[in-house]
Amino acid sequence: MMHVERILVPADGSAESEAAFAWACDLARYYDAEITLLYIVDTTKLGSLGLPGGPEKPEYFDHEQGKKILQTLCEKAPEGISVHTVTVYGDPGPDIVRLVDKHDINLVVMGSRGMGRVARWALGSVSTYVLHRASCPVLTVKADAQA
Amino acid sequence: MAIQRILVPVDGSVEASAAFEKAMEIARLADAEVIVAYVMDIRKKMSTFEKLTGEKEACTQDEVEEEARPVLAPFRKKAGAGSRIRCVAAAGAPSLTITALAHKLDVQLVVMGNRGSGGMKRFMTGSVSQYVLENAFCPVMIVKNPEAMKKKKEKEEWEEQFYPSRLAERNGKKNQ
Repeated sequence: MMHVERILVPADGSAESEAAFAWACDLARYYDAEITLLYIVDTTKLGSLGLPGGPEKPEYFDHEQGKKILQTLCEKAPEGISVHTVTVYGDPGPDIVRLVDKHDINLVVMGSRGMGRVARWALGSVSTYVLHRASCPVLTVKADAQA
Repeated sequence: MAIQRILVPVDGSVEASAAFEKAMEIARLADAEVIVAYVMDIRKKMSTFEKLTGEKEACTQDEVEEEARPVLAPFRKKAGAGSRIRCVAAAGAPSLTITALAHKLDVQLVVMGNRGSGGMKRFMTGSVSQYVLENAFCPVMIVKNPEAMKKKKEKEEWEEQFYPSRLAERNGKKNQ
């Protein structure tokens, strides 16, 4: 069975992705693996800027917000764990799956939901997409998971 | 946080075995106990009348153990030096029972296959995995079937031939 060397953690600033990162750090410590923290600027929402259901400010598409989110998460990482941060522009679900294949990621750890508005479903759309399509194991973490 | 107990629901499928291997990997590194659980689906055994009145118990504990034994046997054998494995047999609706077990046994992690031996044979998440994922309080890791992943890659390569820009790549691959 293959060992885990590269862990991918998609983060969007939600409490779920924080919990997911905490879990990823634990696993990275056990496996001595490296973590890739990924922020995706959702360019599919470009058409709905200002419209109901879409983002309100153009800053949504700026990677500055992403960098801040990644930075705050990185600071919480414990000693001795290597974390790379990456910002990507694109469609969250497919891009995560594409990156898993491209960089031979062994494990994806992600929140069960993100910053999406519809709180009805237990599993967010991006998490569902990655869960179905990723070719590696996927660990979904809920916000109140103790880590 | 210390991972102390990992729950692995199994049903004899290849996916469950892959999930078990992954759980053993983590358990060895984190010094955790792996709890392998088989849930006997008793819904088929109860007639509607029995379900409604709850008069007759669907099955005895012995029947459950009997059905669970062949499924759990290969996992029992794998308990080697330094790895702790516990086998549990239960009866009920699989989704609900597995979630209840995860809470009752107070596990920190559930590792399961994306689908089991029932239902659709495609590369999708089965209904039991989906339910446990959404309803368990602890994180759930879904492990895919390695052969299915290989087939999926091959299928994607097959579909690529309909995109003219990839034609040269495909021809290169076919000549291998």
